[in-house]
Amino acid sequence: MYFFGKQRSSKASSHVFLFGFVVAMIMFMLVAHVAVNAFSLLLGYTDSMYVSSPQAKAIVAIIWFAVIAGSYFRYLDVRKGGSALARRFGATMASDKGRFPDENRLHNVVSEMAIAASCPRPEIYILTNEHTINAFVVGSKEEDRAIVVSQGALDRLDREELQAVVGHEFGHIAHGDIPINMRLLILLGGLLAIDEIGQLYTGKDWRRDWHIGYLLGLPLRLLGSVGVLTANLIRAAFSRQREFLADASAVQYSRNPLAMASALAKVRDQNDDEPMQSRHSGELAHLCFQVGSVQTWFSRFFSSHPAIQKRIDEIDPHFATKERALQRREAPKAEGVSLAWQQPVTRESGATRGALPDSVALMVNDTPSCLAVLFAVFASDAPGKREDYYNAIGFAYTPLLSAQVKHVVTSLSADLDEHRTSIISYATDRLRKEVLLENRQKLMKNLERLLVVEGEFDLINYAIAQLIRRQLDVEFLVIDQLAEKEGELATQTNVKTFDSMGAEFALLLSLMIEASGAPSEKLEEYYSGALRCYTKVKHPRRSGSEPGIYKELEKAFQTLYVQPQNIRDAFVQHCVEIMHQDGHVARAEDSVIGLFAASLDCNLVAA
Amino acid sequence: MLTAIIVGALVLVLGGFVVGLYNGLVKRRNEFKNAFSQIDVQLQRRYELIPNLVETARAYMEHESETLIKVTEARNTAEKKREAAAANPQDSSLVGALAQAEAKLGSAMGGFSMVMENYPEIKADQSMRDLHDELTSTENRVGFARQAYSDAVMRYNTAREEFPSNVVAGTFNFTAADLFEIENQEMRETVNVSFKNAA
Repeated sequence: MYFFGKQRSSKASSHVFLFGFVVAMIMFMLVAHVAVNAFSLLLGYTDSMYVSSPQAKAIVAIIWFAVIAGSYFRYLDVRKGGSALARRFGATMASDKGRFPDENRLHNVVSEMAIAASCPRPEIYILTNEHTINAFVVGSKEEDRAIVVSQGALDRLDREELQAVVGHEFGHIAHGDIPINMRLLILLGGLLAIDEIGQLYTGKDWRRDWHIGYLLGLPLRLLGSVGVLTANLIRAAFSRQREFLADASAVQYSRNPLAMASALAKVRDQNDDEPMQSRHSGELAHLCFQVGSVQTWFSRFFSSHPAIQKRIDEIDPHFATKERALQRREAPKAEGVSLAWQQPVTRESGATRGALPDSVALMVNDTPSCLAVLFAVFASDAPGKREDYYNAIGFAYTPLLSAQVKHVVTSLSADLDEHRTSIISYATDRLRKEVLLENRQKLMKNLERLLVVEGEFDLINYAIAQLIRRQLDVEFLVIDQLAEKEGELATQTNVKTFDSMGAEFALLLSLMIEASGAPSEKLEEYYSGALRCYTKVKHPRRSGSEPGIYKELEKAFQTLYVQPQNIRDAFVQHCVEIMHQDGHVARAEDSVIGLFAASLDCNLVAA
Repeated sequence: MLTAIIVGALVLVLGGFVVGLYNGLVKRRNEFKNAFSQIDVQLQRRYELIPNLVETARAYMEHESETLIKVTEARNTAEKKREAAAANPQDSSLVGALAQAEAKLGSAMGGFSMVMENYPEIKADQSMRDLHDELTSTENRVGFARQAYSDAVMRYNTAREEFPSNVVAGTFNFTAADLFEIENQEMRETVNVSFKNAA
């Protein structure tokens, strides 16, 4: 995450919202004036929109009085020092240094982050009866500020995550969010007062009989409610940008985006009903670390915080994958799942990547025979089809090649099955050295066309063809172009978030699982289990027999190819795990994993 | 008359603009100076803790006086460099010298920690443990202070070089600030070697 850039952009958009808030306030007062004048015109108190009747003046005075008085009372409320406010929210001061290990840790973390943010160190308070992960800052004056951390945060977060959370709060301090929030609250208090004065006229109970007070009270209430609603909407939009800003600042201070993302992930997974059950949480929400998850689209507009997942994506779009890698490193063989691949892996014959048998080395000794071997790999097992295949080769190339292929297939059929991968790499090695790039490109094109014409283009053959293509150094055209723009390759700026590539990963996963040769009724279960490791979104399982799947597969490879190396490696690694899960590597699995690794430019050994 | 007013207004606006730029630069300069003084405060804290640590350790490791002397000497040198650099934080050669002395002290402390591993009874000592915890947290703080200093220097240098404030910076002699880094390649290498020996 380039945190300086992120900070600049969210700061800019938050300023737009701040400006919008002020404009909305001015508009609101103007509308109120016009409405009162129009009302009095309607009732015949005055002849013109521009001349206010005494009654209208009185009402406008009431509105202004309400706004000013409401703002003033709110001002008295928020003006208090940080420590006093923190105590009012039920927090207790952290005990002196060195008494309790967790509070000592908090002391150290706060001091360190204060230095990193170049801010004076605030007082430290702890919300002892709050068991969700949360934190906030209060106090408008620099010298009397308090940072309040929930007990839940102390209990559940490790030191680095706590540092990220505290850093987030220091982000709010450093960017002056406390005074801004205070001013917004004061203005809101004014609008709220209009509503309350209207309530004085109408009475609290709506079902009571009509009385004269409604005439004045209802418009006032309407005015106040609309004002509060609009102001809240803008304030929430502003606040969401400031949250991104604070997150980016926390990363700047701690230089540890992973800890920030994992703290957010812990919040996401905590599954508590309602964080911060304090009665003041509305006012505070803006400065809290989190406000819980928001479900409906409607309430999202009013939420002071962006959705947690969105914040994680902003910090690190690939956190889900990295988290998995971390978990794997920490607890490699703890659960029952891993028992399956603790067993020794037996490879089905035909999947060995061993040395080349002598018979092949003797026979495949010149360029034409290497070429023939490549064609021979695709020869079908059914005799009739095989004959068609030979004919097609003879038609496309020369009868000589066709005869050679036939010869290779008949004399080496056992070896071709058993040592396919090593034979391919041996043959392609030679061809790469001895044949011009142009001719290799032509070869690949012909080979693929041949397979399509012969109806042999199933997933496995496709995988082998792509492997040959890769080993012959005949790159995909599009990927060539991508690789040319090396600078743009795999930088954070064009990285998509994980969920937006979910469909591509799901496609590869389902093909991988299909190739495992598991019974078809189990496939769905394996697939959803594997998918859950990556994303919560449910993608349907795909199948290699669907028409047009290769085109989609190529598109998917293109999308995934520009992802950072570690993401691709992690994915291939996961596929290897799936492959080894049943203690048995099927031949199809071996081809598919080879295809994935080659197409995503990952080293299988490294992964 | 009208032209005079327009010209006057223009001069006023331009003057205000220049003043704004100048004040912005001053603010940034003070920020990075303050950030430097933060490093200074934390380093001082560290240098005060080290003699305590050495004194407490001396009771346990009679035979390792060489290590202790090395730590004390490195600490004293670093303390001197710190005082010099604190007096004039804009002099990059002084800051560089301090960074070098710091690196030397770091490697001496590394050796000290290694030796300490051989004396389990030291680790059991409560006051020693407190001191060590304190030192670890202080080292974290030094790290964060250096990071904050680098960030502040970056902001100051960017402001200094950006148009149009670079004109103001040139006129009023705002010199470039230096990062707190070891520039001497040789110095870096010695740090590595000493760790290898200690291990």
